Amino acid sequence: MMNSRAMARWLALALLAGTADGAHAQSATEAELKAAYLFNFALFVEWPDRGQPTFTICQYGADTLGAGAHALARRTLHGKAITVRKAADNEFTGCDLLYIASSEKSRIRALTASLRGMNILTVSDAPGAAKEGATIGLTVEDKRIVFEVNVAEARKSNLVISAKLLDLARSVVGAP
Amino acid sequence: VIKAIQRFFSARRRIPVRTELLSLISVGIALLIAGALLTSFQYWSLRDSLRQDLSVQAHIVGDHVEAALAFRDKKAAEEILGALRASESIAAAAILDADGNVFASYDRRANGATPVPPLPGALAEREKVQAEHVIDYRGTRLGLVRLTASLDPTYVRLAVFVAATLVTLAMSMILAKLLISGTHKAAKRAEERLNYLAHFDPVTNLYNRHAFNERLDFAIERARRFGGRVALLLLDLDNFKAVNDTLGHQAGDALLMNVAQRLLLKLRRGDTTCRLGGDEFAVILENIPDGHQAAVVAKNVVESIAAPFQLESQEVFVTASCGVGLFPDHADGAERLIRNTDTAMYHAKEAGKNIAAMFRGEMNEKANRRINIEGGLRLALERDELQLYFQPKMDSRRRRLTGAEALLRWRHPDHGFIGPAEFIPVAEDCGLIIPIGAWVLRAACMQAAAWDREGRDAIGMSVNVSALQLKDPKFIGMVADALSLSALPPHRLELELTESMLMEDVESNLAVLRRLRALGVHLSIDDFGTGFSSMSYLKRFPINTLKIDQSFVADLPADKENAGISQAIIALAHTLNLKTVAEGVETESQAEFLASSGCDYLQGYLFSPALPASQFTEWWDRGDFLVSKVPQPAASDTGVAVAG
Repeated sequence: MMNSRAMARWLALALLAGTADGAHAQSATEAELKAAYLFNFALFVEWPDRGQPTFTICQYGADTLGAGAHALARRTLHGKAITVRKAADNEFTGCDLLYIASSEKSRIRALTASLRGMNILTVSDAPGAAKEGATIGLTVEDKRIVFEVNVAEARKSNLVISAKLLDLARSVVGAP
Repeated sequence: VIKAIQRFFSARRRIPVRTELLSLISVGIALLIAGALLTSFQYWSLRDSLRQDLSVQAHIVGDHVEAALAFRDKKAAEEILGALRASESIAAAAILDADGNVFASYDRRANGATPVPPLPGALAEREKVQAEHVIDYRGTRLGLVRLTASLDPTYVRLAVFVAATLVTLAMSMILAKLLISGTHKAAKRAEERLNYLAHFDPVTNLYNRHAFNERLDFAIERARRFGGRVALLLLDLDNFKAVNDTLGHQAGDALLMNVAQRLLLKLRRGDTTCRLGGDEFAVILENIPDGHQAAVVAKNVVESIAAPFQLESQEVFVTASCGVGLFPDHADGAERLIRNTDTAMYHAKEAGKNIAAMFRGEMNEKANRRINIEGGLRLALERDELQLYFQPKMDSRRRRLTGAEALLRWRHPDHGFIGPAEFIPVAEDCGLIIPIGAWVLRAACMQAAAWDREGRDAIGMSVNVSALQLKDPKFIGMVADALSLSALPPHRLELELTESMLMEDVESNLAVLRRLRALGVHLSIDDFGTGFSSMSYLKRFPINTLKIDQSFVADLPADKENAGISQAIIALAHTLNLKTVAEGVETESQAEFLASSGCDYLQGYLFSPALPASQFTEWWDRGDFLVSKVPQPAASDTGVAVAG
């Protein structure tokens, strides 16, 4: 088991590779970067307290996080251990964050509509996911990961997104 | 000794300069210390506030940069750091990630465009202040913000502060110097003034009594050590009081000043001239070869003062009496010398004033006799040594006894008979005149009453009154007591007053005389014509009789002037409805002349000298004075025609 310091070092290296320097982009997979982003999103979002002992990240559709999912499972968020699991239809109870694979793009609108009020942060790397109804949509642009935030969806899911996160978003959807 | 004194004085003068410098230096040091303390305080407070600012800034930057750091958004992080440009003091900033690697940095010198070498260590520790803030978001440590501020702007501000402090300090020093030297000058002036007041007389600018004592001690000490002779001259102005009373104090002061100038003119440079107070002056002559030399100086001084003084428009005449004493000839010390010279001065006064008298040993004997007299006089009353003599007063036409003048005699157990001229002034000096006067009054009244009881003719009794008695508030009571005790009818008592004592304080005397007259007592003026009676006062005084002084009676009628004067007095007295008495009548021709001139009463050796009471009654009983040798009085009783 890696200690937390070594873990942080690994994560930082991974992040650095993805953002600042194109030369290092190859050393970390896109999937691992996306997993790191999920962690960061979770960091800047506030959930209504549900009293659960763990923070649960659910994957819907194809497993696109790969090794990134294992890395996430080793971390803690707000003092809670992170668990990562697959979620099929109607298995969303207990999920704090639902990662919808880009393969499920056509279902995003129906899925997010059904999840409203369940306090689940929906994230998807499908193109235009935020406009489809996901709270955060991830895309790769010029080898960099950028994201869009749909604040209307966030409100419907009772989530508060930090202004600091919004500052970094490429665009914000659904702002009044 | 003089050199030592001069050294002492010059040393004293140098001290203030040194103390002034010392005070200035201490003020300067105090100000410098205060300036240094203020500067270091300023440095620490500037540094501390910079550190606090930096810490706040680090917090703010850390707060803003959290998301950018989490998402590795370097551009966003650098934008946030770029905002630090607004803060002048921040020289550099760096954001380190959780591993301690620099993620984003800012350098003021780089203008935000190109990266510059990493900062830590670029500035020496003394020139910078650093603040670090750990970026910790919801329990997740994201990294670190490190802000570095250059102290250069602080040093610039500090330099400005130091410059301002130095300017203030310099100005304070200038102010302090002005104040110190001002205070110093004032203190020095005050000291000089005090020294002057302590040693000089402000009216004449001569040395005062204090300085006189010092100088005399000094001169005597020197004469004692190195030999030589010191002469002391004590001068007293004879009639200064009159000048002061008639011309006022300002004129009196002006006169003193003029006297001082004349003294200085007559003396050598080394002589010390002092004013001891009032109208007393003293001169110390050092290295005087002999007494003769001192006497010459004294004579010159007395003569120079006798010349008239011009005070404003008036010519004023004063004279001085001078005593001369010599050390070591007349005394073995300063105190003795002063006493003996004073005795000599009193001799000069008694010898007629306006002269200088050298001290002689017998003067002290005379002074001692005076002391003896004073002591004896105190006992004289108790021991019954005082005795009254009576001189008859005759009616000038009928040659009948009409009264007696009581005259005091004192038989001293050691010195025998002492004349009133000798002991009355002593009695006046020591205040014994009051009880003696009361005794005389009582004894005279009792004698007159006793003669009455013997069945004799009622005669008047004249008693002389001293000026001091007249001033005594109990005097009227004493007169009344003497009258009631003896049961003598008041009109039989006649009090004899002198002109000069009446003129001293006219208004209060007038009141006393009126009250005496109210008792029924008769009043006469003794020695009339010898003083300077004002005729208008004479008219106001409630007197009954004028006594013609014996100096006008002498050589009558041959002396035409005396004849004129006595006739004029008689005429004046009659005009004012007063009686006249002539004193000192010794010859028949005098008596005849006076009687024919209209003089009412005669007194003198022609009839009898003053006699003790028993002999007086014998003389009275013999009655040989009754043999009339007087021609019948002229029809006109003024007798002025005869004088013509």
